[in-house]
Amino acid sequence: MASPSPIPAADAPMGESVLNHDWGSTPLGPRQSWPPSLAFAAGLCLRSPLATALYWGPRRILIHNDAWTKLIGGEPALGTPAPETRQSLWAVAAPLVEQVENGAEGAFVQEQALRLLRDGIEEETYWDCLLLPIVDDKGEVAGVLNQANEVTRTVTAERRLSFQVRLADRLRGLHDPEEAKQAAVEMLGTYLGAARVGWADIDEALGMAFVQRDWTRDPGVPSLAGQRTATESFGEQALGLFRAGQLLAVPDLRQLPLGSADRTAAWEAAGVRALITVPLVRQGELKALLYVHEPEPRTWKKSDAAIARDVAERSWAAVEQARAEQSLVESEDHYRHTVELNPQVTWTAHPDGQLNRVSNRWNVWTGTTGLGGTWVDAIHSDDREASLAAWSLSVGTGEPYDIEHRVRMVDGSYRWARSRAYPRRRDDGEICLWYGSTEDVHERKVAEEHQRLLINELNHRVKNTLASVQGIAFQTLRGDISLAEARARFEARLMALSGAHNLLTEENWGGASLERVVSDSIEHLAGESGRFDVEGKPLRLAPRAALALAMALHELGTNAAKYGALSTEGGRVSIGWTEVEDRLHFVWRERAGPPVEAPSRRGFGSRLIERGLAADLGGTASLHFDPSGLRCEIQASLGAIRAQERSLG
Amino acid sequence: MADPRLRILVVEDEMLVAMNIEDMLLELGHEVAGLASRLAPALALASESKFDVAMLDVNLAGEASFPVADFLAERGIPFLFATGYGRQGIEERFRHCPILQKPFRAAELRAALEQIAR
Repeated sequence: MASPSPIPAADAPMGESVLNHDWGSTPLGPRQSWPPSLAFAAGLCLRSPLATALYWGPRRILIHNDAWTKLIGGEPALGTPAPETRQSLWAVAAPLVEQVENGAEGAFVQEQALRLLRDGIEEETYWDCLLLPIVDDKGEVAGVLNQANEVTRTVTAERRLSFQVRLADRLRGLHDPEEAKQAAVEMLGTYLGAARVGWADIDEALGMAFVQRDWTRDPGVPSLAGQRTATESFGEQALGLFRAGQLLAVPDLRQLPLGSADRTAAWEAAGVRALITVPLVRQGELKALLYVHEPEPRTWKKSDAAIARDVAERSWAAVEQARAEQSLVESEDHYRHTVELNPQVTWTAHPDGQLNRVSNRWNVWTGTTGLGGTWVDAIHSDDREASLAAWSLSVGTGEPYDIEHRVRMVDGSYRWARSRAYPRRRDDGEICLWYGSTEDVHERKVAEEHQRLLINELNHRVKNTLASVQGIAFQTLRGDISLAEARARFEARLMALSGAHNLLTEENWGGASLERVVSDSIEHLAGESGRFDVEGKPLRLAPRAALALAMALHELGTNAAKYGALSTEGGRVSIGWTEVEDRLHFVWRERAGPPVEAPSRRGFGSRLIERGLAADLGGTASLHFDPSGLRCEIQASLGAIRAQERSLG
Repeated sequence: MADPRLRILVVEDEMLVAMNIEDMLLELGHEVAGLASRLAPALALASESKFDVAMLDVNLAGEASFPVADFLAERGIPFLFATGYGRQGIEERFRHCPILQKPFRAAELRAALEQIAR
């Protein structure tokens, strides 16, 4: 059989090397002397497209192809005993080779990890290895053929995929934005075996970066949590990249500084010699940075940067989702509290005026839901028509609704309320919902009503008082008296009226004690209170009775001082009152004065007492001109003159 | 006017004002047919005494005099109001009556009397 030479001709560099190798100086001896099994195995080795090595003989003399040279990343090691070559590779291969030698059976090892230095960079690589025993003509294992297929890319891709699945699972369960951020950096840090990974939130308006939390490999690595940094400290160039959404991976800041030497030193002091920084730009604004820090130089693989970007994007999406959820929950919570804690009843209604939501406070007020017809039912029947008409008008025209009405409370009482509503319109101007509120304005309404009554009452009193003054003037200024005398009398009567008003004002017009009315009326009589004998039980007079009596006592006092008992030395006046059943009996009696004669003409004082006072007190009043002294007897109904207990001031 | 002299019922609870009204009426040449300062006596006088017109204060010691007005209106006896409250203190159905706002002048009183006794 014409067979090709077991050793390939110079169709490959290694083939040539192998052919040309000085085998005579190796334990294998010159090529021509090789046993057929060796020549055959060497042929297989050199023709394999996979990285292939042949370990021959007890000393495991090495023959390998070009691909293997690439694998070991150094000079060819033809004819050298394998244990004397690169230790790391042999250390992995040795137990397998031994196993195949001893068992005389092939072995297949999958995804064997191997740290290799490639282009000066040490890398984790993965290999599928097929080891076959080469049997010589005696039937013994003379060597082992090792074919290795690199599966680093597949393994890495699988690991990344698995990582991404785990990350997604983890993020899905988190509803707090900060927890989502922390989970992401923790997983990324573990995956990359990095020293420190974290998020910095960026506030471009303030030009600040803020780290809430971060993850560190071990306690020896300082955390940046709580730190604030001006974004300008990243340097113009880096910041420009970040804003453009570009990732930055620096294996050694000393070799590739982001800014001045001082800044590099500052970074290093913060434990950053190598870094990956992934920017997150949303709506054209830099929102956050995901950072991976190493205190020592680290050569980043493309896959490191890719996974960092992937984690940043995925976790930020989760953060935004969580923030949206949280904000929704907060918004709902806020709305609920706004409605529930609002002292007003808030409500909404459809464009046709039908109420569709009424806050619970209405139920607290009225015991009804406010929905259906129950709202209208709770409105006072006198106010119902106006309320409905106003609502119909608003619903028809879109004008705001604003009306006051009474509401029947759950205890049956009515309280004044003010209902207002405004329409919410869609973009096309159509009303989509009415937003209303009903507030309790009862206190205000009652106060307004009270104030109105008070003003009316004040006006009435002022006008009546002026009419009284008019009466005093009319009565005083008639007849044949001098102007000076008329003025003096007018003033005195005004003062008496004013004094009685003062007394009533002191008690808020609730009434006045009879004793006070008497003592105030006689007080001005030349300090002669020693000439009065006053006796009577306490009695509170109604304002009108107090005023009338005060005016009458003024007239009596003035008359006594001018013509009666108080006009002479030793004259006295006794004032006394007693209650007999439902009547008051009041007596003014003068004695030891000049002899008394009945006057020919009745003056103002007499008229005031005999006609006016009698009418005002609901009784009788009479003047008796006894020779021993003037006597005034007043009989009044207690019911008419006694002060009432009033609730309204 | 056949006889300008009128007999007038005065319902007024303030004695000074009542006296003043009396004097004004006398000066105007009229006669006071009766004076009442409370609602009950006013109603009694209105039904018992003979008079041509009535002058009513509104607030009689806390009671409104409108029942007297109703009584008079039923019988077709003319009346006027004299009040410190003014027009808004008068119930709607009596707003067409002459209303004197206290204090008032004798001339105003004369005009009001002429209006109702015509």
